[in-house]
Amino acid sequence: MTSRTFANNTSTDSRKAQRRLLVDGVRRTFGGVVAIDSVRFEVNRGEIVGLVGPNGAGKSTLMAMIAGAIPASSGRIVFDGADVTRWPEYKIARHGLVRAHQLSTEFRKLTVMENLLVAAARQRGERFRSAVTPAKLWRAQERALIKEATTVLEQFGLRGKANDYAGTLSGGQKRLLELMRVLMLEPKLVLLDEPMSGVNPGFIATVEERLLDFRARGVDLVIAEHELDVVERLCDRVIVVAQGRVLAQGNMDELRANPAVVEAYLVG
Amino acid sequence: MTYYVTTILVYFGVDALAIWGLNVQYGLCGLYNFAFILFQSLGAYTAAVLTLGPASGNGGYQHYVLGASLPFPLPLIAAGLAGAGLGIVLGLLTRRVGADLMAVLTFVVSVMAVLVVSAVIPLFNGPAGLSSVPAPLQSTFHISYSSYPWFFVGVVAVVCAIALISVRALTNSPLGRAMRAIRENEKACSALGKNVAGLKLFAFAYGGALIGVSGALLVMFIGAWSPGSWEVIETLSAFAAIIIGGTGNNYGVVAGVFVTQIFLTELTRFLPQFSATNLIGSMQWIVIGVLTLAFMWFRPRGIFPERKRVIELDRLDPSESRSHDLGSSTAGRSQEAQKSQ
Amino acid sequence: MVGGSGTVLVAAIGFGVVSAAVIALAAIGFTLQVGISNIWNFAYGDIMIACSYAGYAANHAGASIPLCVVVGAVVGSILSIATNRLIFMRFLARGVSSFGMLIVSLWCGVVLQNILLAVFGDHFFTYKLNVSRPNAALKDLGFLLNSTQLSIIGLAVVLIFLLYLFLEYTQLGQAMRATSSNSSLARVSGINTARVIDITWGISGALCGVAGVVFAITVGAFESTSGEGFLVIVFAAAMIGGLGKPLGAALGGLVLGVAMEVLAVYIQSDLKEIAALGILVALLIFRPQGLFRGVSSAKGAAPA
Repeated sequence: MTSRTFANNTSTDSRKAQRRLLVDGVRRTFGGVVAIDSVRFEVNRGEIVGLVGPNGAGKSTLMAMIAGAIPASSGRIVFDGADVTRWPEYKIARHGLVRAHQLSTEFRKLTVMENLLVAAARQRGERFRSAVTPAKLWRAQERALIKEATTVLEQFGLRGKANDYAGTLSGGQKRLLELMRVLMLEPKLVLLDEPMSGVNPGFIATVEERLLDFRARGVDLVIAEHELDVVERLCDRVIVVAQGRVLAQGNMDELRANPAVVEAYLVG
Repeated sequence: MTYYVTTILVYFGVDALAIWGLNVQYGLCGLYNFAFILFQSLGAYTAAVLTLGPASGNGGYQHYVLGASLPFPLPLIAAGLAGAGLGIVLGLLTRRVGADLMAVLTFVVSVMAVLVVSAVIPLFNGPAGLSSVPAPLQSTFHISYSSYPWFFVGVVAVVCAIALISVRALTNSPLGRAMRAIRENEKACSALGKNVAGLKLFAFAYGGALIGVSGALLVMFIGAWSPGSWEVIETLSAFAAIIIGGTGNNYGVVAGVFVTQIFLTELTRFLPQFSATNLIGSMQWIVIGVLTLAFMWFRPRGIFPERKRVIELDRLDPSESRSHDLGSSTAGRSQEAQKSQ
Repeated sequence: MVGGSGTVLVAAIGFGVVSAAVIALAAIGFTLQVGISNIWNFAYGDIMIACSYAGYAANHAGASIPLCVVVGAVVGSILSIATNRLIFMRFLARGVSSFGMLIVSLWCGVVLQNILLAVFGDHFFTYKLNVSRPNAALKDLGFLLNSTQLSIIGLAVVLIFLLYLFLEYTQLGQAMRATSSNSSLARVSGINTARVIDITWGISGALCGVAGVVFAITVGAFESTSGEGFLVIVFAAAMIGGLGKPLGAALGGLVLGVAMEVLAVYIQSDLKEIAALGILVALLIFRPQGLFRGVSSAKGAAPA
């Protein structure tokens, strides 16, 4: 019996070590409406998890809650071993859990390069003392960040736009900008809220490749998406959410065969 | 004639100092501080009651708090700290109230403050205000009355120079960049890990300190300060200067101050007198108002818009790039995609 | 006066109701403008004073007080519609932010104020009024109100009631309410929103004008800057009732008017304005949607 418990403990520990994100019994109610009802799922290191479900299922709300933008009424969110349930959004982002928004949130009157530089974490030049200390203290770090940002721009094919105001970018380019900014944060897990929404069909392949780059850098992804073929191509595992609760988990084939899932989509 | 010149120079310097403070708050960080004049007034009163002797002295014709007879530059520093303190209060309020309501809230607080100071006489001598504030360092250095104005111009110039160095450092640093990002989209900043509340607090406090110091310099020069000097119209004027001069641009807002405060005022001085003596004053405000609306309509970025920060990209040396696998086909495809966009 | 006795208190309440009448009329106009155009018109106080001057001109030309009120209403209507069409609507169409609109309306107010100053000069103005004695019947109850003051209260009550009937039961009134709560939906349902907007500014401008004339009468003496201080009181009343809700503004005016006069019995008179502003500050921080919970359009938050 002892050996079996011991074996169970090691597998639990190793599973815990593998786990990047745990969403446990998370609920959100406001004004008597239950928006999210005891959602539970995990994301392990190296995974790309898909979050699908009909409109109004609560995918965006759930993502906002995990990122700390909206408070959870109850439940726990554990990220890399830390309980981040009550943390403010910026602290969670600094810890490595970042959300990329559905709508464009570029800094319009800053250049593309500045947009990227802003995102970088732990900048010495952002300390308050920059108002009274010489620029020498942060110049070196700034130069390194510019190099890093240039690399990212090259990778995303937007180097030529570096010194343009972010407000002048096209819709698809703004979507890439969002991803680039997130990348500059050196995140560990990125929540993507409808990354393909409003993207030209011809451009989807490009965005997909960039998302695979994230995995190549060791970043885990949770993608909420409508386009099921995108989900099928990118995600290892898919979670179906409907009416604020988890309906099923598995890969696309399993889910397609699941009558409850099919019904949820048909009924909407 | 020299008195005329020195007065203009002092006012110009003080206005520039104050507008830099407001520019950090509003131009850089996007904070709606409609209590601008309250900051300047707080600085002025703080410096006054710290420079003056006890209220009972001189026959006790003025009633006010403190009266510490502190030597220059202590009252100046205290005024800066008072401005920073008020800034922190506003910074905390904005967490609760939200950006848009801040404008009206600060407006109302500004109006209320004038009423309170006028009503509570023991505080700062009510509507009559404070007077006979001694000029700094005049007796210490035995400066004559005729050359003192130039001495004070020098003091203002030194303070402005120090302030400009600091403001430029702030504006051109990543800290300034973070503030500009907050101005553009504060929710996105939070999502990117910036402590927005803390940054706003700092902007309010830093700008507030500058405005407070400007008030101190002003009261030391004029020697007096009363509620009539700080009505809401002064705040409106400051925003007019920023809008006309160029929001966010430190040199632009100084140009704006020059146009609204110095140029127009002095222009009306040389116009023939109209029958009603107040007509000149009214004309001034009407012109500034129309000018502000015109700029908001035709050229909202101002005379000298905030300049674009162009960054030189180094030629990318493959050995310096981060090590991860990038398929060459990936790079090729993404460039094609860029062309099709 | 400290520790007022019962009769002083009753008299204060009486004066409070007069004050409330003026504030309520002004606040309803202000709040209608917030509702229809999503704009906080901070030139409102100065337009009001322009109407005070208009009424003054009529008054000194020999017109009766009711005629002065009508003159004020007409001038207010015209000025308000003009300001909205020529300035506010254009800047809004340009996409100016709500903060920008605040600056626009404030500067419009300053310009108007200074035009009045240039034209009329910087001294105080008073209407020529017949001196009337406090109404005998009410005096027994403790109220010291003369016929002019009673007429003002009556006028306010009548106008508010008429406005209520108009908004609730006429097609035009309902169109105004619909456009206030959702202008695009209203337009799609066939309402001529452009005309409704004009009419709303006309009506609110008329109320502003009436308020301006009765303000000048009750306050005794006014000058070009008198609108500034009154504006924040009007704004406070509108906020108490919830911005965009006309009935709320009327209630807010009543509450504020009476509260300020009653307070003046116990504390220094100049502190009563500070008290009103204190209430406003508290509302802005803790309850910007107003004190009364209502179903109608709540424009408590700043305009988009």
